[in-house]
Amino acid sequence: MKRFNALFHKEWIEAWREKKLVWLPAVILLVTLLQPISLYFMPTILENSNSLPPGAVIELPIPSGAEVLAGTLSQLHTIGTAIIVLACMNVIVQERNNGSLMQLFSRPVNTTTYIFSKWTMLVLLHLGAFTISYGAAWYYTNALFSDVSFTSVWKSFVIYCLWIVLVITVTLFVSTFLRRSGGVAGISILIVASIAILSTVMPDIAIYLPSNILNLATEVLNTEKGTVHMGAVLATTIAFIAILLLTMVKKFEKSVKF
Amino acid sequence: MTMLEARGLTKRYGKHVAVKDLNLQLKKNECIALLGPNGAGKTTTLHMLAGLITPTDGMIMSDKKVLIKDKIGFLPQYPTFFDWMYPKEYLMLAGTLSGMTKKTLKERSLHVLEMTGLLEAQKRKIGAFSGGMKQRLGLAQAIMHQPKILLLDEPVSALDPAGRIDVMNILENLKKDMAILFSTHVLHDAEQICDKALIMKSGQSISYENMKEWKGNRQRKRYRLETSDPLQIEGLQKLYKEIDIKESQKIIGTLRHNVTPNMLLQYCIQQDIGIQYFGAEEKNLEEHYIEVMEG
Repeated sequence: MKRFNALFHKEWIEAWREKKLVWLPAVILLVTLLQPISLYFMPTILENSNSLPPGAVIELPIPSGAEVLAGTLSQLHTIGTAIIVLACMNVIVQERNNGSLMQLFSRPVNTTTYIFSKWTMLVLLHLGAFTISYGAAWYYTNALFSDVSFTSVWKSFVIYCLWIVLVITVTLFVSTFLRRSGGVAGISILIVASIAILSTVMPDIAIYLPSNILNLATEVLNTEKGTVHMGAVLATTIAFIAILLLTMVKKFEKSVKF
Repeated sequence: MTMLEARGLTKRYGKHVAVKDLNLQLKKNECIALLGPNGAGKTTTLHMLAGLITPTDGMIMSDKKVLIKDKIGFLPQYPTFFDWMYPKEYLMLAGTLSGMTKKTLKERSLHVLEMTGLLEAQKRKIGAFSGGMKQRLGLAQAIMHQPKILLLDEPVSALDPAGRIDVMNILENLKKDMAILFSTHVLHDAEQICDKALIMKSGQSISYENMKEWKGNRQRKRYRLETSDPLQIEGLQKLYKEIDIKESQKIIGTLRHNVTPNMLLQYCIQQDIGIQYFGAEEKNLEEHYIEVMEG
């Protein structure tokens, strides 16, 4: 535990000194807030765009608060996912390539401690950033559109957190067997995108899989209740995360012996 | 007490054999130099002993037990740190990972910084360190947790002459508490502080000798003569039995059976040869190294 704490502490100082602790929440906040704010100003934006013939009348239906928040999540699902992958792609690869990993492992440190110190830190950092951003988005949605109940926001929040954890885990998983950060980013995005795309390619199976997380969160926002398959989706996601973590620790055990 | 023992150590990468059937015994307070050309398998050997790579074959023990990492201090050839850290932070992290208690960490880290001459640099981030300073910090982290065995991969290769002497003095002092094994290309250093030298060539140990012993055991002493004028070799050949090294103003070799050093000196005076240096010559490591490499 002492070793875990030391490495965990090191991760936070590193994130602070390299200012990841600042830019990551800032970027995620920006991506999240863009949706409610741009939707609110959409009529004005269109009017000022000058590309409409004179006399054209614009009449946009005002979306409900739940729809706006769902839009926020879907925005995050594309751009946010890419940001998370980019923020995580370097954490193992860099230390491994420059040799500082080897120097750490000449001490009695085991791979589980090492991987979990990184994983826990990244999960807390990203979930923290997401909490702030989603909270802010909720505030603006309530102020600019209609109110959304706390229960549905809270439920959708918890469901979507799982997606974030999954993306982090996939990226770390790929980091344990590729040595180039570009490759890590590419393969991670490929895996995450394939998971997401399953919901349109094979909807029958995908309703039980992590692919359905976004749909589930949207549904919870609109109806305050999940579908019958909510339990299945959460279970498969958690199982998938656990399997990735276990394989990654085992795999790293072998490959860390340079 | 045998601090570190390797028997039949072998490492294969596919068909390539990096280290083959290496035997080694490092006793308490002993210092062994690991010598050999580039690519001879020195680094691979050190990595195996440090537990960073698993040997294909053979075993590594400490005092007849399995070797544990707490006992080892390791300095890689190119020490790498986290550039955003301060030296003290790295030492404290390293110490914690090696199981040191919080109380001793601070004091010990200052102590090793002082030993390695980095006390004044502790306000700078490691990213701003020069290569030599990184090498010193590498040594500091290796001795941080007071290991029983110190494994160093070319500890002086990145240092300037003054730094090299510093590090060698540090190692000389550390010999009191630790058993040291280090690889180097500087034969002079190895000769100064080491008891034994293990010479490797293409993964195999080709010579493993006790330097102190071989120095004392030489039956016939060799004598070195340096002069201010070019030597007249004909006359000297009558006195020297075997000539090992011959340059225009320098000669080293063993004397004939009934010739004493005084007779050689007398001969030089009679011939009016300007003597610059005259003395007994021990066989040095460099000669031995070249002999073994060619043999």
